[in-house]
Amino acid sequence: MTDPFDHVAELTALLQASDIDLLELKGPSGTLRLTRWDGRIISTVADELDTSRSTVLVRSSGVGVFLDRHPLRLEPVLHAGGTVSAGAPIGFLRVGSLLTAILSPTDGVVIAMLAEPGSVVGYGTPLFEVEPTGSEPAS
Amino acid sequence: MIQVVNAAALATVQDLGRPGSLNLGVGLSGAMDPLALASGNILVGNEDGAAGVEVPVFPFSVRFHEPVVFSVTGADCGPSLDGVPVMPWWASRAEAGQVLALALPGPAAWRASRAYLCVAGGIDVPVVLGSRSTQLRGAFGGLDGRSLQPGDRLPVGPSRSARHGFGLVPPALELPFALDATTAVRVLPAAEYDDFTPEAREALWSCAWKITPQSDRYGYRLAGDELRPSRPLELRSHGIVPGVIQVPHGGQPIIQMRDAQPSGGYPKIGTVIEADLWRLGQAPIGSRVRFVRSSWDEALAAGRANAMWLAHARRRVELCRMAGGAR
Repeated sequence: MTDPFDHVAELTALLQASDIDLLELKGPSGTLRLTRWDGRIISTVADELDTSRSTVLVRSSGVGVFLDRHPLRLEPVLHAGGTVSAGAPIGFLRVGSLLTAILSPTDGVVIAMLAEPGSVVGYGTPLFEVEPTGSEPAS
Repeated sequence: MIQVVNAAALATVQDLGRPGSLNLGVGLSGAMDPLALASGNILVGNEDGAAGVEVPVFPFSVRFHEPVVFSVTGADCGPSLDGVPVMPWWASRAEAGQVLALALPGPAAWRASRAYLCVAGGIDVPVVLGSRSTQLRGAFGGLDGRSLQPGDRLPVGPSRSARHGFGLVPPALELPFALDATTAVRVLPAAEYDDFTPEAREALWSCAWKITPQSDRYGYRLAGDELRPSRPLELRSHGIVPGVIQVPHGGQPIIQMRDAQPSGGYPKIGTVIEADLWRLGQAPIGSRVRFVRSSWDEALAAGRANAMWLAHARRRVELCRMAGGAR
């Protein structure tokens, strides 16, 4: 079957043009979730390799330089293990002088930062792993 | 419409200034950091020269009376909307009734002193002599020719539905200019430069000048080595422009800034180039500044570099809007 992640750009454009706020596609290999936040469409992929807990991979929405803090700030937006709320910025993507925010798709705990701050990332590059609140590992 | 809730002092409505009226005795006025004001306008979809609010003293807060896209540029004053942090140098959206609060700038990658609030549509006060800038000396322009007070209402101009959710890297980080880790500005020798002693001329370029508390929109009084002319200089009052470095009898220089009067009689040892005045406009009181001798060609090139930075920023922001990055 086709991987929904191959069609994120088309699906995002379709959703942007519609008045739908949430599109979730579930398959055996993972879950693609497109959400409208603050007028933008955010794509997230939940890899369900470890079924005991479902973490969310936050991927880059484009090509740019990944930053873990606002360029004016001395401190990163968050530290590993820090809690985030849905829609809160957890990093930045810089293209020339333009900055866009990488927003957390969910309330939860940031488990890992998966890209090096200052590195160039591409469309879909995993940047953060977030464990949504209320999805603790089954004992 | 936006309403001032809390204004410590000296916040004024400013655009890019009122050039062309020096012959009438009317000074330039305008934002002390025109790059920050223009960047803020680019973020909210305005022309570079739309009017915003310059905030030099904190805290400062306003209430939005209608939904509007806004930006806070210049010094990072930890802006928050109803207590929720918003990003500096960012296009954000406020709903009717929300309060934007600006706090004292803390430690940051760029130490700056003035913040600019821009709103989509611009602050729509009447245009006087081609500008909305507050002319404090003449008490016209801006809001009734004065600084803002709690309760003041500022009209907002019409705007197309501006998009939001993106930001700009401050030009201070992309166009840095420093000497021995001290903020630097380029200076052209002025008419009386050769009338100063060789030691004074040397000191002009080698001293790390301290910006004293007697510094404001009218001028910056500096402290450092004493600058002495070779012989007593008596000049008639003559036309001067922002950036001129005058040396009064005490030997401590004064740099004329945006609200300077258009004439003066002190000898002029140099002139800070127009393209670097924004760096000075953001230099905090107590910080130091170095003068770097420059040429006419270098001064023009620096002006072009600023203009190019703004043009690139505008293009990036327009592309981001077109890509549907935000509504």
